[in-house]
Amino acid sequence: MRISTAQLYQQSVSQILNKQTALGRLQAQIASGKRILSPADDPAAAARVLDIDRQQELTRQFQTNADLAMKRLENEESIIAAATTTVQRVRELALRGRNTHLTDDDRRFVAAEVRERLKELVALGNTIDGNGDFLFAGHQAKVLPFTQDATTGLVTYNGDQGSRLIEVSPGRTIADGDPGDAVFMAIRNGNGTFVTGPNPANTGSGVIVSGGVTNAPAWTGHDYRIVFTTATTFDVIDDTTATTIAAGVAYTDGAAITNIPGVSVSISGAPATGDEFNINPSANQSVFATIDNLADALETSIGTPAARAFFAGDVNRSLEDLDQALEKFLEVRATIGARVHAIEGQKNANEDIGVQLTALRSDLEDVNLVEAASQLQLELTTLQAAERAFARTQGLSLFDFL
Amino acid sequence: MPDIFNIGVSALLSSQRMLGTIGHNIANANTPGYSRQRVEFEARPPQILGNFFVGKGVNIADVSRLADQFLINQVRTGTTNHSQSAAFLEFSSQLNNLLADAQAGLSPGLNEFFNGLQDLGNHPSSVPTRQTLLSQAQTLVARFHEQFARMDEIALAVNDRIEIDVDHINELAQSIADINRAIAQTSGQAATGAANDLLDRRDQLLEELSGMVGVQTFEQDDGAINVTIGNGQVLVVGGTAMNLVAVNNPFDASRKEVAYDTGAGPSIISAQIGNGELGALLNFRDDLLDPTRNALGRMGVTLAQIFNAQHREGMDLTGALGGDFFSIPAPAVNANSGNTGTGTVVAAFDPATVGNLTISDYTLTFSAGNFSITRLSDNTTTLLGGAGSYTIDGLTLTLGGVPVAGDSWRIQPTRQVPRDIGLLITDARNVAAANPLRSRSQLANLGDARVTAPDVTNAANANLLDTVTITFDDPPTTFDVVDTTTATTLASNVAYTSGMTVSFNGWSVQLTGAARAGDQLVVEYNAGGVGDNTNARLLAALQAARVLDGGTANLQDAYGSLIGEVGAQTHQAEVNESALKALLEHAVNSREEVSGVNLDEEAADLLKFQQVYQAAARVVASANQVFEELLNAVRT
Repeated sequence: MRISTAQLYQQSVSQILNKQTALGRLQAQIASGKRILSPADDPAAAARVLDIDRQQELTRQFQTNADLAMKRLENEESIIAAATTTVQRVRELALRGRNTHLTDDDRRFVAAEVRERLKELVALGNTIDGNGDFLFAGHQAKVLPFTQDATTGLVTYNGDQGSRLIEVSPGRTIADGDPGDAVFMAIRNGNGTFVTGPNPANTGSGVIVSGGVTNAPAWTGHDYRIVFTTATTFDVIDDTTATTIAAGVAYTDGAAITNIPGVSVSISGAPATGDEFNINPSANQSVFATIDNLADALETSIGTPAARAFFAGDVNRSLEDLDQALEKFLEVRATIGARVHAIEGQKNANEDIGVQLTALRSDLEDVNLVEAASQLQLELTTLQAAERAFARTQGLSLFDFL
Repeated sequence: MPDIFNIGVSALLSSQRMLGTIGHNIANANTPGYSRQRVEFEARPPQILGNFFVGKGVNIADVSRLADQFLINQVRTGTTNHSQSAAFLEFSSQLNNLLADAQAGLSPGLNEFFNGLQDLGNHPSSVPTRQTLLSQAQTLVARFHEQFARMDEIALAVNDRIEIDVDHINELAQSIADINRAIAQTSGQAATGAANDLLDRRDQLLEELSGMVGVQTFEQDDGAINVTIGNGQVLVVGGTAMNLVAVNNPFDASRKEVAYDTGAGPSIISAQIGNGELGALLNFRDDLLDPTRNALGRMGVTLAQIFNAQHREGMDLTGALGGDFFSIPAPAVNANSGNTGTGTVVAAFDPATVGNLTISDYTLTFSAGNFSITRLSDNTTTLLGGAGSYTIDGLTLTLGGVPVAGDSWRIQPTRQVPRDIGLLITDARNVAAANPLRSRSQLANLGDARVTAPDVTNAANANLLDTVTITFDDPPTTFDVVDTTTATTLASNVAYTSGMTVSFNGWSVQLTGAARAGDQLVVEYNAGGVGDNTNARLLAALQAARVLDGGTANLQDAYGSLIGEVGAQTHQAEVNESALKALLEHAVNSREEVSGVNLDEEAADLLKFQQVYQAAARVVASANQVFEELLNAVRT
């Protein structure tokens, strides 16, 4: 085989250039730590890396979302805890005010504190978050959720029933709060199933007390009325169907009346002929209305036996309603706790996913440094050898000997 | 005696010639394409002297060129293939690097934009968060613009290179024609020899030409070589060269095409040129650059379409329904510059079938009273019919006017989108993060019937924002639906089952729970609902929505496959280039083995013929001495 001088030169040079290209590449890989310097190096992996990049970004975003939702829920929880304390104080005041030895003035002092507590509760309901958004206004973040009428003392809710959902993982959303409506307003009154009360026209001293639900499926949800036809007998009337379901039942002071399907009530004291007591299905009553009712009852003078009976009935009702409110708060706090727990679980899961994604990405695009370094050494050695060989062969010429 | 002189002189002259040729070889040792030459000697015809023959010295038979046409042809083919792959690699690398650049790429822009939407979902009432989202949207749009500009630069570079290559080809063709003429002239003068250096020069020019475009050569009797390119377009005939010209695409003045100047006006032969650097340029543009640009545009259109549709279903901070978020440019329709009729073609994107959009361009032609459309990616032709409106591949075409048979149009649905996509929202408050509707159950309800948040299904419904009540009858097994804004009963005595979905006025809600007679559920305009993030969440969810390629790919998938495609083709080009480079080197080595000058060999020859020269001189001297001896003998 012949070889031309130019070819000898050209071959050596192109080999050296090839080695240098390989070295440059290795050097760039080692410097960046990346195996894939451009999509052409591994097109499939490059596309995967892009997708992983998106998932990583998204996972980071979900963690941000989760942290935020958690903070908001913790904030809400602390507000509802404060509201619970307030309502418990009101309950204590109700128990104190129930004491019939108190004078009208004493009760009015109690009532004054109850009204202060009401304002405190309204203020809690109007808490704002870090953004200046009202915590309990639903989606009406810029609308003052609870306003109290200066003259009637009635509190109205101005927000809506929306609750903001925060995405904490693909497709999984968690509400970062509860509308004020659900926390403070939509509270079933009475014992949660039915509510009892005297007819305002009653003249006797009979007081009705709800005995509770004895058979839930049997409860019809109708309006019932107990009418004393004499001081010792009464009829039970279903007002919804306008039928008398029991007539001339003998009255025993404090005994359970079980004529109404599924529930039991009792009446104590001395009802007068014509006195009526209502048993209605529970409706929604705000905790504000409950407290306001209590204050109203405490402010009423109790000179007559009938008035005392009304007062006793009202306070009983208030205690029942306050218990409902406390239960509601507890229920909301329980769901908040469950949500916080869920978020914590999701955060851990997201973290795991993040670690996996990082590992996956590293597998795809990171250079194996040990391998690359030894490869670099090898390329360097061969480059040096090629350069030496070039210098030696180029130094040879027959003309030197002529 | 004169014989000895003559023999000596013949040897002197021939070795002188050989020494000159060796000098010529040494001088051209590094001349590209040079083939080494050798003086061929032959003994002179002998003289008959009685019964035997007497030698008369040496003659120069030929100065031969050590070249092998087969090897030359191999180098030529190798050059065509290698420069094709090298040129393709050069341009695909540019595209590849553009897409690899994480800072300029679309991917970070998309991620940031959608994360911005998530942040908006976290703080829907916050104007600063909205501002951030808007600037992220602006960045995303700018990324599209930037990518378009950079890809357009590559397209312009392809145009420039086509023009340069065409000029170069014309120059080479002219030079080859000139050499053809010179060779033809000389071939008549020398009986056997050929103009070695001219042949080398021509082969060198042909090699250069074959790098530009694949050639076929046909040697003629007079030594001239005819050259054709493509599928038989004659470039050089004898001493005449034809001209190629770079002309504008008839549909698109911004694209250069290769045309063959027949004298009767240029005719475009781009489709016939598939190899060499020129072929690589055209292939790169048609097979990689255009689809990539179209794919990028399709991402833009799809993003804008689905985003706008969802955005219109939301409510902004001022309480108004969301408008379009992105501006969507119309598909480009370019009439053939040779059209003679007055047909009108208007193309628009069809929002309902956005998933059917392809990354192909289309040719619309009119003949025999009918329009037909050809998708260029797979050459599928669909007969449409006469004037009217047609929907195909996510496009709505409105055809009319008075076209003439043979008229044609090129439709580039998404090519210009990355350049023209824009942001329509400038006021951060106009980002529609909220649901325009809300629902509630009345506080006075005794039952537990609940209504889910309304899902807007048709934002264009005129009664969308009306207040609608759903009131349970007695018994609560049925309900009535009343639009209280217009005082219209929408439905009466609808049978109720928990979990059912009801749809009215462009929204739908789900009803659950045990209802009591008289319970009322309300769906109403979400006035003041600034804390609502429903639509922000729905917008953020579009990141993962599988809408492209007939609903199989999300935006990120589409971008990933775009990058994957460019990466794969570049990778392929890299592999091809290095393989073809090795083949070319091999072919060049084979040719050099035969034709290359080895200086050591020449040095040895130099010594050898120096010695021959010295010996020949000695022969002359000897003849002289012999003659002297003879004269001396006669003198005495």
